[in-house]
Amino acid sequence: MGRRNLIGILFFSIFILLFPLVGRISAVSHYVDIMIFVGLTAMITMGLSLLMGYAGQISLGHAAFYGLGAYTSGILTAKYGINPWPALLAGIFLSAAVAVIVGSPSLKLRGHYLAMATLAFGEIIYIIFNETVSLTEGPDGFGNIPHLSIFGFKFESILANYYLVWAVAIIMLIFLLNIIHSRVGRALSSIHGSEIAAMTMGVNASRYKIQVFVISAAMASVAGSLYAHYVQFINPPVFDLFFSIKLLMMVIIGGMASVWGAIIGAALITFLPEWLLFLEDFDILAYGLVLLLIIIFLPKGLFSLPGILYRSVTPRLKSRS
Amino acid sequence: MFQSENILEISSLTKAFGGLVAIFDLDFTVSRGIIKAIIGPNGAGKTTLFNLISGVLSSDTGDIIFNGQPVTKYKPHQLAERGISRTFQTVELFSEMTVLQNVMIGRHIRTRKGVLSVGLKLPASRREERAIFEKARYYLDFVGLEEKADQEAGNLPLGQQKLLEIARALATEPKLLLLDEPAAGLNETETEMAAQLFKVIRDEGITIILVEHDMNLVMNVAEEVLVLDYGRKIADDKPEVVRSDPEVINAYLGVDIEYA
Repeated sequence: MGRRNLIGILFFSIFILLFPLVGRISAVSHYVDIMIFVGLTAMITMGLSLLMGYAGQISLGHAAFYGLGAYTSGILTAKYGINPWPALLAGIFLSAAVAVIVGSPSLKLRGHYLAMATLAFGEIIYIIFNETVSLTEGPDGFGNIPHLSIFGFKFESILANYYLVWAVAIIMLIFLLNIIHSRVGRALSSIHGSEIAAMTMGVNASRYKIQVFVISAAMASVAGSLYAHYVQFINPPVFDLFFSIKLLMMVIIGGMASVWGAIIGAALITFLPEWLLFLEDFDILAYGLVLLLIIIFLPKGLFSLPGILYRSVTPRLKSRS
Repeated sequence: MFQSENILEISSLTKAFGGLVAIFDLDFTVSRGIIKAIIGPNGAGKTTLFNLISGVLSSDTGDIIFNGQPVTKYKPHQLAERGISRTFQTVELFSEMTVLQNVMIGRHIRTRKGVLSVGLKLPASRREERAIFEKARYYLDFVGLEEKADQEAGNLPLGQQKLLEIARALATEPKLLLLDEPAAGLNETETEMAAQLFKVIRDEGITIILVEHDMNLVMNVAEEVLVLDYGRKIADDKPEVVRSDPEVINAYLGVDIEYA
């Protein structure tokens, strides 16, 4: 996957390893908890960035895949007493199967049919969560979802969940970087470079678009399962259309064609309300303003910032010497 | 295994865009292992014909038989898999990728590993990736671009971009190579080198169909010439016969085709 990404993963892992030290500073001790949500969200946005940045498709249904994972895990473990790990697998398979059904017809066509199909799909899932009361307890949601455990170790504390979530997120990051730097990733980028040439080189565009969509759905499902086991309570509003839109925003803010950007976007949008709290009633205004400024001045997302700074500084340094 | 003598057989092929008939009731064949040129005035339907053969467009009526197999309604990736590859009149490189990566895309159809395998970096997918890399270097070397491997493809001068397109097409291991105006924009020396390259490719057993305006090049390399005018065939013969055909000369408005 290239040396830069390897170094990136190394430093990022060290950062994640050491981050809980901020928990010792009382003013920001809750940041570790927020970082769990950043990790869960990043699992979804990373997959989405592959879908948007490489396959050129928009999904408005990823909150629903997140919800499918959460509800599958929640229902199977809390109501049927099934072990959480097979339940998590069941969520993956369900989400992947649904993604194939929703994605195949729309991804075989050119244009943004997937956005429309997933919008409808997200709404349907949201209604199911609300209306199938016997299974989901409807709008009230339900609790008593057990924590995950492995070899007798129970992921109960914030810290344990933090490391679990980020270990999974980093594995997913590596998985996606591997895909990007492979024949599949090249095939996906080639479609952007010249669709006609990609076609005649034998790249079957729709097939890869479907595969990427299914993978991103499965990753969102895993995030949902981990969410359910961490929070131990789930209800529908977490998985609504607004969250799907927020996920898209994170990907765009972070930098669409980069899984790193997707993590940065997830972190910024999740932390931003926290940082704007001091503005009290004006926080929404500032929130909008920050996003607007990023889109206007960094159309390629936050991840493009270091490159832009580097390019603007190096000529000056050279002229000085 | 039985091999038909003709690599390509086209019969009653017609393609219209609305009221404009680009290709009309066209019949012709291409023998295995030759270089065949397709010439004709602008708008004669040459590029449309390439788009039909490579599956980018699908015909209204007619049949295309490739390597003894009917392939009329095949999609581009199916044709690429069966051994048809092409270049483009307006260079269609993946300009933001490196030169080497462009050729690596050419290996796509000859490799298999899927999303899970490459994502998990299974040993088999690592081996395949290495093989892709080595084959791509081989074809880059073949057209003489090995020193440009790590440059961004879009930054190459036009002549080298055309060579890169050829390397990328060769990397798919085609049986039939379609070259759409490969010498347009090349200077005399580059054209001469291109002509040599085409002959080497043919001698490797790859049949070439060439759309070209440079008559010197056509007369130099082609063993057969098909002349199109308004989507119809007006001549299909050896170059020396075609150049003195009155209808061909007329189609080029009486201009001596050697300097057309």
